[in-house]
Order: sequence, then structure tokens, then C-alpha cells
Amino acid sequence: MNLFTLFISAMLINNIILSKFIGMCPFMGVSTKMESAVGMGLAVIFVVFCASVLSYGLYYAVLEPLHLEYMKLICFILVIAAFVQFVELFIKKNSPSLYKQLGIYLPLITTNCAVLYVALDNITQEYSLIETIVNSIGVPAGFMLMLCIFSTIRERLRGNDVPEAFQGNPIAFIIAAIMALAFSSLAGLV
Amino acid sequence: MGKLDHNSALYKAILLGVLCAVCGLLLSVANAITAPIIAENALATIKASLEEIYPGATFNDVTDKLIEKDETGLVDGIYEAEGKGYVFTLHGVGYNSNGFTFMVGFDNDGKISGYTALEQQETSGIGSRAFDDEYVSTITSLTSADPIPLLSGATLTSTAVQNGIDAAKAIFNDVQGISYDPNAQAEVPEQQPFGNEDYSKTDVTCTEVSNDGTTAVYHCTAKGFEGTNEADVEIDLSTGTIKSIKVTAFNDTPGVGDTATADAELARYAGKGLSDVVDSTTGASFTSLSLRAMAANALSAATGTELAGGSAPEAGSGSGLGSEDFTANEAGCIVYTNLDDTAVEYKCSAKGYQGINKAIVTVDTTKGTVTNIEITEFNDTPGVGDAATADTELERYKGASLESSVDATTSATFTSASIRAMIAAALNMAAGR
Amino acid sequence: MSEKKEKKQSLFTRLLVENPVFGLYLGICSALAITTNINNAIGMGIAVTIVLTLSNILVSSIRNLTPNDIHIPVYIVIIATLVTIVGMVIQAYTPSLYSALGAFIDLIVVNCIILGRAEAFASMNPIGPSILDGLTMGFSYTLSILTMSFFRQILGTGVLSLSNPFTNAEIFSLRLIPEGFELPFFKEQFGAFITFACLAAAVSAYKTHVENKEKSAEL
Repeated sequence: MNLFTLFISAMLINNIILSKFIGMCPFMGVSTKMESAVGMGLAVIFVVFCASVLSYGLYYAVLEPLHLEYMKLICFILVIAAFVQFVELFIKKNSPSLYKQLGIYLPLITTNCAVLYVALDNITQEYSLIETIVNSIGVPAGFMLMLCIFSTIRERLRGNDVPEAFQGNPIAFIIAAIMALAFSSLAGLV
Repeated sequence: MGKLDHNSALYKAILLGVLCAVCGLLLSVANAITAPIIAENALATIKASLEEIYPGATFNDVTDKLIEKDETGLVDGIYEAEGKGYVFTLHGVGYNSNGFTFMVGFDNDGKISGYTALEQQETSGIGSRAFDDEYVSTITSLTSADPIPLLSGATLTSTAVQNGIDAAKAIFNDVQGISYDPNAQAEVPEQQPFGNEDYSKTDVTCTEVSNDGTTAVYHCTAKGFEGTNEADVEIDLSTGTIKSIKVTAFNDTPGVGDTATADAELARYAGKGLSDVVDSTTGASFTSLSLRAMAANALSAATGTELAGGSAPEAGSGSGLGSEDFTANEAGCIVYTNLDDTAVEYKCSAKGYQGINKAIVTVDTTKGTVTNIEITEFNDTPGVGDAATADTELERYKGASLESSVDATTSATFTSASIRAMIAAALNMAAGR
Repeated sequence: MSEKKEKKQSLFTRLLVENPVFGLYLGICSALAITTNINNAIGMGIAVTIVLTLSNILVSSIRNLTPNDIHIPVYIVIIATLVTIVGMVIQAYTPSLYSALGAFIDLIVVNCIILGRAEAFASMNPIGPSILDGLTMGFSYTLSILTMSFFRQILGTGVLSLSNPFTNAEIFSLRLIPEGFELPFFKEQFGAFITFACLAAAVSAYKTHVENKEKSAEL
């Protein structure tokens, strides 16, 4: 598949939040402020990219030759957990200020469906290494885009008169519904 | 203190290690139990195709076991039909760059039990002939030790088929312990003498240009691969052999067909008569055929001998309009006017000798016959082809149905063929309503 | 007498207020994605319940052996193994369910409910209560996604149908909305979000109502 098409498809057309519903858990919690949205978004891009490439290497170098494909779920999730742990320790040691800003999100990312989904998807779709790299950057880029858009909308919402029952998360889902409708118009593009 | 220190690194490492080992063990047990069932589910989808070759057999998917033996990468799946043989699913790329998939089956004793296409989009009438009954029966008459012949005129597709079956043969013969020569080439069917070959597809015609009693020159035209080639054939009347062939118009693929028109190749025709054989130029089978057609017809006209193989399409040669081959004419019709419940006028067009002729054909839909034909556009050679468009000639088509045969107008073979093609197309459309 | 009534109300209330999907917003990914028909919901619900209960049992049984700083990887390995096994079983015996649920079977691993319960409850309680907790949470989750699928399927396709995942035989099929009058957008992303929002709002309203009732009872 054409790499540019793959990137656009991963980021916008098959947007992981609006089209595939993955990564919703942290999404609802973090999309209330713009600064936290940007921070989380960048952290997710970094983690997804590195974890996916590592998982890809692990699968094709170790699991497949040994016919241990069924171990991929355990191995991938351990790779992700270990990687996030490693990154957290690294940031803690080297940049305490950055750690203060991002520290709370990193453990959250481990259970982010998005990371595991991208790692698994690269294998299911039988992408080559370069396609994996493009996909692994495009998908979390789409995640970050959604986070930023949502946080601006939700910031504006705070002054509005939302019915009591819908306050908080339910109204966010209504916003998501409308955005999903808007983005679904891109469906036939690729 | 008999209790382990829970916080020691060793303890943690052991705990994790034991945990991973136990989990790995559980997973491999679960895999061993479920993997065969999953494989069987996957097999169910392809089973329908496999049963075409071995109906009712029990199939085992042995792809994983044997796929390492495949060095070509053409083998997709290997299935063992218990007690009967093996079926291989293969893929190849012929003319259509999307490729095609097919299956070949071998009985346990080596005989090829079946060969069918799974999915193919090769050019209809050309590459797709590699999947037609003729070629299929050629292949299924062979064994796993025999070389696979190519199909002339479908070289690309049949080469891909040949490569695929060779890959399957290699694995099959290895498993069954059958020895064979992987480099053996299939016998190319012997080239026939001029007089016996079938030239009907070339629409060959020859007209005498000069005749001085000792030498006659004929100007001939014959279809090659995609165009009509023309040549002047000089015949020595005393010996009934060819003196020379000069190609005056070449309309086939440059760089491919013109290897047959090179001087050295044409020189091989010199001195040959109707009972002689001139081999086809490899890689230019169609152009060679057109040259041989022209040579044969010139010889036949000069010596007054009938050709055994047949020449220009005999109009009404036993089969009716409905079964005559009009693909070269590319005839097409559209409904022009619905006169009433029983009659329809069709506006038709068909390629003739050098241009497209158009006509309005009126069909009686209840009887499936032609009631009238009116030529609206004539683009063939004036003075030659228009003999077929004369009112007296067109009268003969009235009352014709798909079963009738109507003779061509002599010396206006191509225009006649285009008229017949239009009539056949109109009758077919009326029948399809 | 009133104590029993209180207990009964409390169970129903708990089911709604502490509902993992609509009350606590855990496991939403799967709730939105696969709830297009009740077959998928039941299948997914059962899968999650099984994984949750078994993981609770295992985590609870080794809770005294696991040092605190490696407890996350340990739980992850246990849950991942369980999910892989459940996935294999689904793929082998109910292939139609497997193709319907797709990648979301593997994503049960990161379903916040399972790791959440393991950490919040099973790591601190004996096996018995852990089993009960697993079953309750699983049942609650199943009920939630079943409700969502119920609405989405009826409004989206007009037909309420159930089929046996082992044999693909239809158990029943009820057309509730005449053909041509159904709202197909409920099958898609937009409908998923809207249904979820409305159900979450309903639960939130109920929560407020209960809180007000309790407050007025105290006064």
C-alpha cells in the first residue's frame, strides 16, 4: 500500500478513536485540558512507535521462527509494560521536570488499548517494517489530534448549560458522536 | 528463618520465571488442543474446491509440514486426500498482472488427477484458453514425471501454469519418492506440412497479380496476431514450389512478430511446396501462421490443389450463423426501433476488410429470422467488397435464422463476413430478449 | 423487614451505580465496538466474566507470594495467558463469534475492569470473595453491554435475533421495527456514541436521585 495513503488512512480515515473505538479509557480522562492533551498525545506517539517496532522485531525474529505465534499476546504486553517502565525510570532520572509533567500518564499508557492494538494490528495486516513504522506513527498521531480537538471543545463546554445528567462524560460522548459523523464522511477516500 | 525474603531480587526473578514457565506450558497445551480444530475450520472453506478433484475424500492440510520443500514460492497450500493423493493450490502471473490461482491434483501413483482454475482474469479467448477443456485434458493425461507442455497462443499464461505445476511436482515427487527429470522439455507438436494445416483463423485470401505461364505472383493477406499482414508470394509453376515471399505490409507487434518476417526466415520458404514443412518462428507463432497461410493459399491457387486443412472461412460451412466465429469482426448491435410486438430494428456495426460497416437489421422476434437488412455505411474496398452489399446479395439473407448458413459473396469474403456477423449479433440480441 | 428491602435496593443500586461500564467508565472500548448485536454482547460478556473470575482466583491465591513492586507484570502475565487461552477456545469452537469480535478478544487483556479488580480487590481478599466479586463484576458488565446491544440492534436493524454461536443456527428472530423504518446509523460509530451517552446519562441521573434520596433520608 502506498505509504502516504497508509498514513492518512491510519490517522484520519480509520481514526483509532472515532472509527475503531480504541483508546477511549484514557481519552475521557485526559481530554479536559489542552496542555494535558498535548503531553499525553506526544507520550502516546512515542510509546506506540517504539513498542510497535520492538514487538514487530520480537515477532519476526523470535516468535515466528520458533512457531510460538500463540505467545504473541503475552510477549507484546510484557514488552509494552517493560518499555513504559523503562521510559518512566529514564525520564525520572534525567529530567525531573518532564517527569512531573508526564509522570502520571505513563503508567496509564500501559493499559491503553491503543498501544497493544497497533502492535497486534501490524502483525495481523502483515505489514513490512516500513509500513509498520508509518502505521505506528499515523495511528497515535490521529489519537493526539482527537485529544487536542476534544480538549478545546470540552474547555469551551465548561461555561455552558449542560443538563445535569449529561454533565461530565456523557456530554463528551455526544461530542464524540458528532465528530464521528463528521469524520465518517472521509470513509470512501482511500 | 525458613521464610523466603520476598523482596530479594532472586525471589522475584524465580517467581516471574516460574510464572512464565507455567503460563507457557498452559498455552502450549491449549494450542495443541485448539490448533487442529482451527485448522479444520479454515480447511472447510477451501474444501469445496478440493472436492472438485477428489469428491468425498477426507482432506488434511499438510501445508505447514511440506511447504519448506517449495523453493519457488508459488505453492499456497498442500492438501492430502487420504488414501487418494495430493492437491496443491498454486498461484501464478500470466498476462494479467493481478495473477491467477489454480489447483492441481496428483494421484498417489503419480497420475495428474485434476487441474482447474480457482480465480483467473486472463484475456478471454487468449490466455483463458489455458484453463479450457482442451488444455485441461492435455494436462490431466500426464503424470507427475512428465514435462508440462505450453499452449501455443497462450504462452504467458501457460508458462505460469507450467511453473506452478512444476513446483507442485517437485514437492509431490519428493514426498512419494518418484524420480523424474526436472529439466525435461515437453515435446513441441510437430509442424505440419503446408497443405494440412488449419488456416481458418487467418481469414487468408490471395489474388493473382501476374501469371506468365512459368511464374505466378499472388498478393495475399492473412491475419496474424492482431493485424492483417500482406505479402507477395512468387510461385514457380513448373515445380509447384515457392520462389520467394516478400512481406508488403506487417501489422503485428513490432519487435515480436517481425522476427518471422526477417529475410533469413522468409528465405526458408524458398523451394517449398504443399507437402513440405516450414517450422514456425519461435516467439512469433501468429505471424508465422499468417505467412504459412499465405504461402499455402498461393500454392493452392497456383497448382489448383485444394488445401486439406481449410483456408478462408467458408461461409455456411456446415454450421449455422449462430455457431460461426465472428470475434474478429467485433460486431455490435443496439435496438434502433421497436416496430411492434413482433419486429425490432437493430442498428449494427461490424469490422469488414479494412473498415467498419454499418447496417440496420430488421428481425422478426417471434420467428427469430431476418426480414430485412439495409447497409447504412460501407467502409471496405469500393469495387471489391461492395459486391456483397448489392441488393441481390442482401436478398439472400432474408428469412435467415441462427441455424441457417448463408454463402459468402465470392471475392468479397470480408465484407460478407461482416454482414453475417451483424446479422448473427442482431439475431442473438433478439433471442436474448 | 426494612433491612431486607434495603439490601435488595442496595444490590440493584450497586449494579447501576457501580456499573463498570456506565458508572465507572471502564472497558468502554469493547462496549462501543462490538455491541452491534446481542450475540456479540453475550459472547463478549461471557468471555470477560470467565477471564475476570479466573484471574481473580489466581491473583487471590498468589497474593501473599507476590512482592509489591512486581505485582503489575505478574498480573499482566496471568491475564494475558487467560485471554490467549479463551481466545483460542473461541476461535476453535465458535468461529463466527471469533470473526465478529475480532481484535477485541485480544484487547480483553487491557480491559481496565480486569486489571482494576485484580488490583483493587483480589490482591487483598481471599479466594471465596474474589470469585464472587469476579462473577458480580462480570455479570454487571455483561448486563451493561447487553443493554447497549439491545438498543443498537433493535434501532439499527429493526430485528432482535439470537443465534447459537457453536452451530450458527438461529434461535429466534423478531422483527420489531417494520422494514425500511429502522435507523441504520445505530449500527455505526455515531449510534454507538449516542447510545452510550444516553445510557450513561440515565445512570448518572439515577445516581443523583439515589444520592438525593439518601440525603433526605438522613435529614
